[in-house]
Amino acid sequence: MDKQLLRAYLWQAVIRLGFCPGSTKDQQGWLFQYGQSIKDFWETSYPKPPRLENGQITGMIDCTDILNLSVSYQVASAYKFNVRFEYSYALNNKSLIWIHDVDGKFFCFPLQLFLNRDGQEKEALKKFVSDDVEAVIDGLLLHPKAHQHIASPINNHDIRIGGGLDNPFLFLFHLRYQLCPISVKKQKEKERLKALFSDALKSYSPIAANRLMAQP
Amino acid sequence: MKRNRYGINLDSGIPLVTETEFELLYVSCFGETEEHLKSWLVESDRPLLLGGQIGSGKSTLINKAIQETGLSPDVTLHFDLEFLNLDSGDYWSIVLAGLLETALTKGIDLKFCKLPQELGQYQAEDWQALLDGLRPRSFSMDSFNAKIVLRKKVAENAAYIRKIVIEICRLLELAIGRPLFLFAAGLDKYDPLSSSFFAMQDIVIALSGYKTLFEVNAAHLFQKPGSPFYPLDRLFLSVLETDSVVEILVKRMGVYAQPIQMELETIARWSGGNPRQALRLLSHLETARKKRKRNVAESLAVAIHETTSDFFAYSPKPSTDLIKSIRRAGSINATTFSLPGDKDTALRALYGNWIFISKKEDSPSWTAKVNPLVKTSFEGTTAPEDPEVKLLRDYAVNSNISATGLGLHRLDEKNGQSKTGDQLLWEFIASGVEQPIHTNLSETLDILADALLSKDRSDRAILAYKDVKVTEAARAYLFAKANSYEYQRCKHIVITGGLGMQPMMEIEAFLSEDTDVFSIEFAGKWESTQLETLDKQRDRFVSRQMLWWIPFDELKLYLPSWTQLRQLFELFVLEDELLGSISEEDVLADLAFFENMAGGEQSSKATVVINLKIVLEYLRGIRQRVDHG
Repeated sequence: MDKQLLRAYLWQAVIRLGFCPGSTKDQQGWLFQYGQSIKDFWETSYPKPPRLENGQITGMIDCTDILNLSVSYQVASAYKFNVRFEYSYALNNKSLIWIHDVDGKFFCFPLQLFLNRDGQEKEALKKFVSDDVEAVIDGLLLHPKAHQHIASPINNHDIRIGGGLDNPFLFLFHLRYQLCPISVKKQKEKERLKALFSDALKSYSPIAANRLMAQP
Repeated sequence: MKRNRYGINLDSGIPLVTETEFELLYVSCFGETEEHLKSWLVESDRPLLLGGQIGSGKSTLINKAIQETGLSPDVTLHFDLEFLNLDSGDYWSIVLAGLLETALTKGIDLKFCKLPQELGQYQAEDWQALLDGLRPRSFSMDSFNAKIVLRKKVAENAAYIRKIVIEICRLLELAIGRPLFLFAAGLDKYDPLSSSFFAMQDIVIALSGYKTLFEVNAAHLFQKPGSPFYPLDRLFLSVLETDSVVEILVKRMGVYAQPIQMELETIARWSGGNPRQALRLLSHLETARKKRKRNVAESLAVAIHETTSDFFAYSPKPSTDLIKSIRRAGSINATTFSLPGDKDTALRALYGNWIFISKKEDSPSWTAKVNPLVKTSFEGTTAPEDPEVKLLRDYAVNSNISATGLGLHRLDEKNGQSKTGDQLLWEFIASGVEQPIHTNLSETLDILADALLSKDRSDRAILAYKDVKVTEAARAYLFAKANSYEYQRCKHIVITGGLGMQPMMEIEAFLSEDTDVFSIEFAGKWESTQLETLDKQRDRFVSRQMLWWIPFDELKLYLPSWTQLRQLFELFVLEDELLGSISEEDVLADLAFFENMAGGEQSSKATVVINLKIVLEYLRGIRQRVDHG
């Protein structure tokens, strides 16, 4: 089986198994545990807990300690969300902002459609090896192919914000990794995710939020 | 306390204890003092006074020296953990119980007298029963009352108890075959001019016959001839060099230190070399930085102001003459501390950390400086020329902020006159001494959140209120937030002080309960002895998350008695109404989230829901009253 095709199936399966909580309650639980996990993963303090406003789950992860950056999110559904990055700049209280906005009603290349038509997922899930999982995890979370670096005034080349991520849970989870300032933890997290997703792909069972958010 | 290996480790400046804590956070900064203490531990059999100012690191140094030499005390006597009356009955009971515990552990034969029967009507040889009576293992009304009776008898028979104590010490020395090593911990909590300190002179004399390490305040090192401390060897723990303080702060911030290196240096200067003061400043800076509308220079100014308020608001000030004299000379004569009359102000200034003394110059002069936090509160000072103030101004310039304005208001709020940024900054910092900062509940929570939300930290707050009607809702709000991520049992109690009341018993009973957040409302007219007794028990609260609710009008009466306690508490004055900081919509949004996820009754989310409903009911009640005029 073609390596590229195999990895495309894994790509799709990783998102489905790890980042697709179904009901609103599941999504709330996922985001709650996400916030909860930040404290120990970044070795800092708890962020404010999420809340439910006008049918949207809102929350914030505070990166003031390392970047003077606050990241707040609004998740309306699995297809519509935004994440707002705000840098508190010392001069005259000005804030620099960019917003990662995803709106599912606009067209995007239907990768999933083609993969499903091709019908080789089962074969891909039988044939994958560790390197395949690593490549997919890298591409989705740790080193997205298309990414932005923060150049000024923070200038940290180790932070790669994936530009093409259109799943809110995947996007937020990749921020947990990208904005973590502890390199030792990031290295361990890479190994943990590889093992976690390898197991999940083999058994083709969804990963519960508490396992996904566990500490490396 | 759980510690982070790479990240942030903030607390209220409690001593380091475990090997992990030393490995992660200890900075070798005590120089010769550490070496002298270790030599004393290894070689000496004479008593020693180890003196340092509040927050200077005495307990950490002692723990470190004991850990490195492997020489633990045979008996540790805690004079800062349990009291009833601060009288000789208390003190001798602590000594007797400490020695008995060690003697019983070592299986020493104590048949030389029938003290258990004489004091407590136990079996003549039932020393364990006597020990349990003096220091009950668990709280009950019966055990507490029995303890009171026993301690009264101890006070009445102090001379006899003294003989027994000396005999037990002799037997212990015989058993271990070397000089007995005693550690008298917590004497540093005693104001050297207080009656409770004088009441323990006999104890000091008795313990001075052994290799006893007395943990004292720097002010105790300047005792007059005739004091039992006067003839003892002494070791002084000086304020730290700025570089050492920076190193401590860097370790506390872990991987997060680098981006605020410049601010850490500024904090180190404002700490005056006192590590606990530095940590409190850092803690407030961390909170202030998270407020989005503040730039970093403003955050520093806020951190300085709030630390000043925590430590000094409503404290009796030393005389301006003393402060001017120290600022002019940069030193203080040791005799100033022991002269009678007005000069006692110097001793109180030292005990209360208004001034810091450092290494001894040619005797009897000591290098001295005014605590940077309080400099601006004395008339006739020239704050803008001080190095730490200059640093703050330079910082503002380097951050592209005008040196004459750190973003503060340019108009005096009282008279509308225009003032320079410098003037307003100095006044802002100085006001921390005059009165604590007023915050609304939402701001209070922002400051408390790091500790309140997590079981890993145990911090304490004094919340002064003007309107008692808001306290129930405010408390429910904090209890709800405390349960946001982890299930934390929160209990509240009203404790009444005053003539004929037994508040210490109630506190003891409350502390024996199995809970995570202890909330105490102070009611009645607490007597000064009751407040002082509470102050001595500071370290008993170290491991507990506490919220103390005090009527604002009483604050001025309480705080002057709490020189020690306020080292471990942050101070807030709640604004009168909650509507200004919490809206019904906010509470509904929180409720909607947690209600959907709430599980069993004993869960964090259920606790959030129960408490938010109390807040919601309160807010709706207020709104209805407003709507109906």
